[in-house]
Amino acid sequence: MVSMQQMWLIVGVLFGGLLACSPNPYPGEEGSILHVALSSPPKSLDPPMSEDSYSNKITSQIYEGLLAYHPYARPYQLVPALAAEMPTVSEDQMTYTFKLREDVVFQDDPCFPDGKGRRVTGEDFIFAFKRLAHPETKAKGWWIFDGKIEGMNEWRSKIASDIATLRAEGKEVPELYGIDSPLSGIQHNDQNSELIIKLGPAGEGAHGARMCNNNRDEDEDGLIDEADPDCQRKPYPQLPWVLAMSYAAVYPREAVEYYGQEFRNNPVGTGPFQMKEFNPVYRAVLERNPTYREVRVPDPVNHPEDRLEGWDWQADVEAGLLEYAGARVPQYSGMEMRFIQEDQPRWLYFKNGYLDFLSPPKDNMKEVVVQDGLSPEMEERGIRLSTVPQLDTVYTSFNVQDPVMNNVHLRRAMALAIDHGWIIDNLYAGQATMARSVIPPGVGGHISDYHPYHQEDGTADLDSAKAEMAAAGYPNGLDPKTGEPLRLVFQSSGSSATSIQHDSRFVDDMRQLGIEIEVVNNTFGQMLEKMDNGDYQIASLAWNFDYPDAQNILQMFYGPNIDVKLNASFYENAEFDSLYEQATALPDSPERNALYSEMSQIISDDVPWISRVHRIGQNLKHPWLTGFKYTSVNDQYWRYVHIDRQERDAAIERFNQPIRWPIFVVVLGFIAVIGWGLRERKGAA
Amino acid sequence: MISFLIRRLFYAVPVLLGVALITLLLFNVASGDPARIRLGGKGVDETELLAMQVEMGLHDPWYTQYAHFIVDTLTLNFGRSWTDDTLVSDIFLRGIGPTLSLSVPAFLMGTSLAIALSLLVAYFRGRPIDRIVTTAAIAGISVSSLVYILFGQWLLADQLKLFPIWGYEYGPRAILFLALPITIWILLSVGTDIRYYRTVALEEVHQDYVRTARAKGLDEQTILFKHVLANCSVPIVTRMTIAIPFLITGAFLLEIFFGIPGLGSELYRSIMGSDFPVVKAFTMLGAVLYVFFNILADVLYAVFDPRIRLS
Repeated sequence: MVSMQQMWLIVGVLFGGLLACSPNPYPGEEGSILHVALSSPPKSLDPPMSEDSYSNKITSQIYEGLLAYHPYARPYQLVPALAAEMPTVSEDQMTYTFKLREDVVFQDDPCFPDGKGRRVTGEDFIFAFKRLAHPETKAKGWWIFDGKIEGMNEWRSKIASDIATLRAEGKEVPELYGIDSPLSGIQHNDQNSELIIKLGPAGEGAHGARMCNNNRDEDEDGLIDEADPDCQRKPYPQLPWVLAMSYAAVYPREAVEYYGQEFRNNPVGTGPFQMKEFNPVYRAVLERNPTYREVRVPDPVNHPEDRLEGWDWQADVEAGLLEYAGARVPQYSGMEMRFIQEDQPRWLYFKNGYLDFLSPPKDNMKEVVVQDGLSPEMEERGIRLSTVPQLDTVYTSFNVQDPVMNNVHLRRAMALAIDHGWIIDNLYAGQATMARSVIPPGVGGHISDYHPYHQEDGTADLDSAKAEMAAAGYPNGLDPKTGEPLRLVFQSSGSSATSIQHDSRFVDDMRQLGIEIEVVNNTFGQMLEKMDNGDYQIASLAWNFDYPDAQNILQMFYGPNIDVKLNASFYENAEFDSLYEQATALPDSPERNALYSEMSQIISDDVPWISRVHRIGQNLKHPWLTGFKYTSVNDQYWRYVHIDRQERDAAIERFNQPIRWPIFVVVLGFIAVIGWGLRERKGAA
Repeated sequence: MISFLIRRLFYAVPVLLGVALITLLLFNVASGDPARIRLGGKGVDETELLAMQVEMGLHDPWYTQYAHFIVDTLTLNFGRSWTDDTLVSDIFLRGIGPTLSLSVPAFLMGTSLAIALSLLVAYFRGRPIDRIVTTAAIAGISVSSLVYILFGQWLLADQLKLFPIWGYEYGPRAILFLALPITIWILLSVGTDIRYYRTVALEEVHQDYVRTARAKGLDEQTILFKHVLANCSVPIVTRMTIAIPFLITGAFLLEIFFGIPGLGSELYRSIMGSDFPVVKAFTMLGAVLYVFFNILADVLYAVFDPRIRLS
């Protein structure tokens, strides 16, 4: 049994331990490490499966593809990565020829016979692209090639059919069965180090309308061949953008065979970093890849060949972004990404210098920004804020096939009743702009002066809304059939406090028109299922652009895309469809942007969606981090930054001096209370 | 004793079967199509969806699915995570270490502190210290655990800079990162424990043997820490036994807010990612542990107190 004296000794040891504790979360760290926080753990580090942004933040440091985003150019531009130069495109825009770099090697890894990474060849790209298309991969990124590459859908269907047959016969199917069967749409020429991608009809198969670039099967014969008028060869101008996505990254076949299902946690790439340690719920630690080829920070001042057309490099020079121009990338020894899901610890980590940059949580914005700019605390610490419009659109979707929601006047009335300004100020803390068009600013085709059902100042226009309600046949919001307020059902997918606030505000806004909204809560998957099946009236979502091309969002209104579950508002408009088919065949040009603008106007008129806001990405960074030009479109730019380790260490020490006197106060207080109690008891006795 | 054990284990079977049935219904029926959730992405292809449904056995009759689930549970074959294809058993093995490194010391220290304080207030029974401690315990219970966590992290880690805000290291350095979550765990639990142990202690201090010990001239410290504590051990041990399942399943909020990569963090990730195999496994694990340790608590009660007859 423990005696009183022993108990006091234990308590003393514990308090001594408290005094010895240190707040440093990186004890014993060596080298110059970039400290990053992700607000959610990644789902998969396997390129075909890395759909979510958190996975992409990691995979974009380890993997590379043919093309990449220039780290500083705005508007966004693509530059060669593993391709030696930008592709040669045939006159009919159906064939892309990439000359491959010959100095690229995979990182060293046990999957290779002697542990040494080998040179990347065209075969590796073919393997990676085929694996993306292989039915057993169940790749989230298959859509980038679906119906676009010559023969690819047929290749995929054949393999799926063979596998189904083998399984029906009770036979075991080898991993990647059929992956070596020929595919005409992607070829390589080792002599010239060329990779050739051919677009075109996807080949014969049973997928019908989905097989062709125009996604239409008017004669409904379900069969595709060259002569079928449904399947004319159509260009795919977005191909370069999708080749810059993680889905199209290259990796060695040896790694897939060696790691099997664990490949998704054991990335093997060609990028500036390689995985050192990975805990899927805690952190990813990356170290510099010693075999990474020579890449340098752009130096437009001294190297005119670095002056990309359309890039205002002088402004970036003046902003200090190119202070280390010409330096070899990466300039630091590794990065540690911690998966800090809660806002408070993430924010406190950054404030105390334990993160080099952070997108501040909404609820902490009042500590960041005061009326005229950054708060004194931020200024004192030299922290800088960047604001960048995100390429996204938050929207409310209507199922226009629903017998009630197919009423355009009703949809227009609901659009006019929304007070976008209040929502931006109160629910986004100002971190958003009203969506005047379905296409966000910075993307070709965006127009800001055509928004017939949004007020310029973002306020609701209830008079016009009520007039639209009357035109819709619901004067004062009353359903003439019942004499009661019109009741509509809104499918919600969030249970967070923010989501509930948004839903409540929507209900309140609609009540101004006399409409009663019933909110039905779902998981995100349930809501998507209802939308796919047309089993909803109203739902809210956000669309994050996969690449800065308006086709990426306009595809969601294209009639034939109803069949492939992309057009969840079930919107059909022949004029829109015709414009879409014209536009998607054109390369980036003023002509195409004009078509996009016209389509955007049609959507603004017909309101299958209420475009709500485009969110503003905000980023804070500490002064010891330079060369950092924030964007939410991709994360490859992290490799170009520079960290002043000494400055950071000094700042962290300054920010984190322990204050220990309260411990003594608590201990003394405890002793005093016990002592007083003893005297009091003795006195009473 | 043997017949008691057999009977309790027999009663546990329908309980666990019921939990398994409810789990299956919740995940395979009420939550939407698991195949669609697993494939979720831009427009799920109907052919792929059908193939996935077949692969997952969703087209089998419900009793077949239920039987498979029971068999899988008994053979500890929970399959692979939908999120990263890791074996569910590997996820448990990965998370159990950090969880126990937090929960076991916190539990032992918290219980020790609560017992010590309970004996203290028993010593000062009726005096102002008794009232102060009791009032503080009740006030402590009345505050939400999230307040403790948020405030504790803000005050002790951010303002006073005494502890790391978030994070974990394996090995001896873990203690640096566990000090604050353990402290908060103790603060969270000590109020409830003091109230319970105080009641137990007060019952004992009014017993005849205590009066006899005092009459014999023993000092209060010896009476409390030797005789009274010994007689309180039965309810203490049984209460501790019942708490063990919660040590294993992880302190959800603490692990998430302080970055402990334990079972609580794994469960949170699985819930957020609709990773049904992992969540189902956790549910069954929790049920089995709860039933088992409840039975064990009853057995220990009889072992420690010969007056108790298990019947």
